[in-house]
Amino acid sequence: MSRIPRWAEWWIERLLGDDRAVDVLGDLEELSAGRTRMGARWWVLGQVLRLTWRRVTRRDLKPSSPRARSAASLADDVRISFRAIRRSPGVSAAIVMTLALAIGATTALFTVADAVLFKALPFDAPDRLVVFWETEPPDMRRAATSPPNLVDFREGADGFEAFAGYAGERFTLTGDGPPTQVLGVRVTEDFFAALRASPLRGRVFDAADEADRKTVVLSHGFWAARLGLDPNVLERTITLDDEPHQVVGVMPETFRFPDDDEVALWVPLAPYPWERIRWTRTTSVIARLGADTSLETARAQLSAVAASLGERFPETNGGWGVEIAPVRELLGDQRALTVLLGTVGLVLLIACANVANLLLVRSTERGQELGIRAALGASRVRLIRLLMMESATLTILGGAAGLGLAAVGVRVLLALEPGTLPRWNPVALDARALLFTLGVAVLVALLAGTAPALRASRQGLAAAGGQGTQRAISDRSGSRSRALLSSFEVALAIVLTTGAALLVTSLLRLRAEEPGFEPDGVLTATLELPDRYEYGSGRIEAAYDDILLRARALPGVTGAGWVTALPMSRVGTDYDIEFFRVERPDLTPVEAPPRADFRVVSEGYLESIGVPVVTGRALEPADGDAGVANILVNRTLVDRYFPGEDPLGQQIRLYQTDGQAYRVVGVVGNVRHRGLDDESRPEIYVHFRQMAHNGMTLALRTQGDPTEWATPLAAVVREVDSDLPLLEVRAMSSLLDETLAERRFSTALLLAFAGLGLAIALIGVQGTLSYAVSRRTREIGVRMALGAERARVVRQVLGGGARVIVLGLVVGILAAAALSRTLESMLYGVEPGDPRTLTVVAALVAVVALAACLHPALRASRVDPVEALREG
Amino acid sequence: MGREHLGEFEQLVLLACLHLRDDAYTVRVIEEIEARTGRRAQHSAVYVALRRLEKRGLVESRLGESTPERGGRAKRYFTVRPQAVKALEAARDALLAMWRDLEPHPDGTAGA
Repeated sequence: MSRIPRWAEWWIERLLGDDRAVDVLGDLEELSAGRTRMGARWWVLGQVLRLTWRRVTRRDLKPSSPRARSAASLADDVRISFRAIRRSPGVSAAIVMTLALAIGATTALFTVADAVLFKALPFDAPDRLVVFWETEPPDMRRAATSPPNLVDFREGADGFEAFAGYAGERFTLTGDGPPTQVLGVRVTEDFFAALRASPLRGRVFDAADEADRKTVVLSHGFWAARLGLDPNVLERTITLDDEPHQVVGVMPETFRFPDDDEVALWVPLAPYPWERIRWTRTTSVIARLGADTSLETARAQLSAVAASLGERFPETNGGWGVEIAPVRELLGDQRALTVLLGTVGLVLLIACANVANLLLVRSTERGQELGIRAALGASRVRLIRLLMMESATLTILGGAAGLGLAAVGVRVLLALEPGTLPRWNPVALDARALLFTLGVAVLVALLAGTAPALRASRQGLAAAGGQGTQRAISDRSGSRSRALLSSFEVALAIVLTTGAALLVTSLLRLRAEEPGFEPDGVLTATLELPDRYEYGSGRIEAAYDDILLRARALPGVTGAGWVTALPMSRVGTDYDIEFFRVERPDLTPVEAPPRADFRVVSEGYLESIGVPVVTGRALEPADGDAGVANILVNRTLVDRYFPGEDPLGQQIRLYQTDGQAYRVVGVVGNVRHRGLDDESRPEIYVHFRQMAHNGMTLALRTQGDPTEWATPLAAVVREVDSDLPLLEVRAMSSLLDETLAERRFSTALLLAFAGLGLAIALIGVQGTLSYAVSRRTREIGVRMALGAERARVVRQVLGGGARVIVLGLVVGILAAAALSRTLESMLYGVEPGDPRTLTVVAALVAVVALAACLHPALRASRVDPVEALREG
Repeated sequence: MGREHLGEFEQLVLLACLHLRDDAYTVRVIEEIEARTGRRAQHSAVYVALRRLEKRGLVESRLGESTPERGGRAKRYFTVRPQAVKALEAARDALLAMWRDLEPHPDGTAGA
C-alpha cells in the first residue's frame, strides 16, 4: 500500500502539475521506506511543506498547466502577505505565537475528545451493541446478572443477535519463570460474535469450549510479551490456576474488551458451582440487537422475562428489573472532558480577539500603503482579499505551529492522564485532527481577520481620496473597537479563571475531608489463592492466618490484618447487603430493609489502618472460633438503625435466609470507603474465619517507608506457598492519591488553560494600551509642555486601561455566574457562582490587569515633550 | 549561451549526476551527495535544483521505469548536457586558480 497520504498526492499534483508530480511522489515513496507508518506521514508532511515553500518563494518553478496556474496566482498573494508579515516581525510573531498556543491546546484536547466522545467505537455496527443490567429493588441500582438468569434472558428475549456474558478474573500463570497473576475474562461462547470480532490466528470459542475451562484465546499483547509472537502458538498450552489451557486463538492488536490494558486472555465462562445460584450476580452482559429490534422492543422483552423470573424465583429475582443502554454507556461520565473542550474553546476565542486587535493595529499602520494601492487602482475587494490573505497566512502559520504543539500536547496528556481515559479508540493526531485544525484556522482567520480587513480597506480608500478627517474618525472608532475587544478578552478570562478557581476550591475541600483511616506507613498487598485451596476445606483460612502471623513477626511491623476490600480501592469485593435485626423483626418490613456495606476482616486489620474503636472492643482471634458470632459495626450504622439504643449486644442476621445471628461487640469509626466525596455508609465487619473468602488484601503497618517491607512480605508468602503471587503491592497512601488523581488532572488542565487565557488577555490589554500611548505621544508631549504633571499622565493612561478592565469585569462576572453552572456536578463543597470565589477572581484579575497597564502608563509619563513635539 | 554560473549546491547535484551516469534520479542523487560529502540534502532542494538546471538547459530528463518500492510510480532520470560539464570545469578552474599559492595551514585550513 502506498505510504503517501491521498491529500499529499492531491496537493503535489496541483502544485507541480500531473506530468511532474508522478516522479516526485515516487521519490517520496522510496525515501519514506523504513519509516513507521506514522513517521512516514509526518515526514511526507514536512517534505510537502518544503516543496510548497520553495514553489511559493521561487518563481522559476511556475508550472504551465492552467489548473496549476490558479494555484500559482494564490501563491502570488501568499508572497505579498509574507512580505507584509516580515515588515513587522514583532506583531507577526505575537500573532503566530498566540495562535499556536491556542490552536495547539484546542487541537490536543480535540484529539482526545474525538477518540473518546465523537468517533464511533471500534466495533462493527456499534449502534447495535448494548449493555444490560439487572436492577435491584428498592432503588433499582444497576447490578450484573448471574449465569442462570443470563440463560433465561437470552432464551426469553428473541430480539437479540447475541446476548453474551463476561466476568473478569485474575489467574495465576505458572510455567516459565516465577508465578504471576494475569487478568483474564471469562466469556460465553457468543461473546466474540456479539462484538463481531474475528481472531488474528486460530478461532474463538464454540459450544464445545463453553462446557469446561480448558481452552484460551490470547490477547495480542500477551502473545507478544509472554510468547514472543511464537508462530506455533496454536500448538501451545498455558497453565492458569494449575490447569493446562489449550491456546485456540489470538485476537488482533486492535481488539480490546473490556476496555482495560491489563486484559491478557479470554477463557470460556463455564460457571463455577456458586455461580449457578441466581443471586450470584457477577456476570456482565454485552449484547447485539437484531437488525429489526429497537432498544424499546428489546427492553420490553427483557422486562417481561424479568417479571416472569420474579414470579418463579421470588427469593432471588422478586422485584428485580432490567436496564439496557447503548455500549457507549461503558465509557462512563466524560463530563470533565466536555468541560475542558469548552475551556479551550474560550481560550481560542480570547486568542481570536487578541489577533483581531493586533491586526487592527497593523492595518492602521498600513493606512498609507493601502492608500497608495487604492490610488493605483486596487478595488476595495482586491484590498480586502489582500488583507484576508494576510490574516489567513498568519493563522495557517499559527495553525502549523499549533499542530506541532498539539502533537507534543497529546503525548503529555496521555502520559499524565491517571489511567481513567477510555482507550477503545487510539488517541493520536490523525487526518481528522488535521482537518479540525484547518477548520479552526479558517474560522480564526475569518473571526479575527474580517473586521480589520473591512476597516483597513475603507481607510485605505479614504486615504487615497485625501479625506483626512474621515481617517481621523476611522482611527477613533478603531481605538474603540480595540478597547471593546480587550474588554471581551478580560471577560472571557474571568469566566475561565472562575471555573479554575471553583475546581481548585473543590479539590482543596475534598482533600481536607477526613478519610477515617491513617494510610501513612501502611503497605498493602492482595493475595488470591488458587482453586486447590478449596472452600470448606479450611485451607483458605489456614493460609491467610499463617501469612498473617508470619507478617506480624517481621521486624519493624507494628500491626497487620486482612480485609476483602481496602477503602477506595478498585481491587477486591465490596458487599452491600440487607440485614435484619433479630430481636425486632417487626421493624424490618417497614419501608426498605436496613442496608449496610459488609467486609470480611481479620483481627488487627482496623487497628493497622488506624480506625478507632468508639465503644466496645476490637475483634480478637477468638472471634474467629466456631460457635462465636461477633461483629463490629460503624458509627453511621448505629446512628441510622440503632438511634438512642445501646448498640452493644444487639443481634442481627446478615441475610434473611441466613439462620446465623451475629452479636455487635464493638462500634468503630467511619471510613469513607467509596471515595472522599462519598458519605460514609453503614458498615459491618465480620471475622474472616466465620466467613471464608478467597481474595483478600493485607494491610501492614510499618515503622518507616512501607514499600521497604514489600520484599520481606513476598518472602513470607513464599515460605507458605512458593506458587502464590502477591498483587498490587504498594503504599496505602497511593490509594488516597489515586482517588483524587482524575479530579486533580482535570483541575490542573483547567488551571493551565485558564492561566493561558488570562496571559493572552493581559497581553491584549497591555498591547492595546501601549499602542494607544504610542499614537498619543505627541498629544502627551504637548500636555506635558503645557505643565501636566507626570503623575497625572500616569493616572490618565491607567484610567483608560481601567475603563477597559471594568467593562470586562462586569460582563465577565455575569457570564461566569451563568456558565459555572455547567461545572456543578464536578464541584465539591462549593456552589457554582459562589460569590466569594467570584469576588476573589474578579479582584485578582483586576489587579493583574491593572499591573499590566502600568508599563505603558509609565512609558507615557517618561515622554520627553521636546522630543515628542520635534517628531510630530 | 555565454557563461553559465553554477551555485555550490548546483555543482554538487551535477557532479552527483555525472557519477551516477544512467542511474541519476533524485533519490540516488541525494544518496550520492551524502555518501561523498556527508551532507544530508533535502529532497525538495535537490528537486528544485534539478528543475532549475533543466530550465536552463544544463540537464535533460526523461521518465523511466516504475518500481514497487516507489508505489508503482515512474522515476525521472537526468542526463548532464555538455554545456553543464563545461560550466563545471570552469567553476573548478576558477576555484583552483584562487587557491593557488595559499599554503595549507597546519590545522588543515588555508593560511597565507
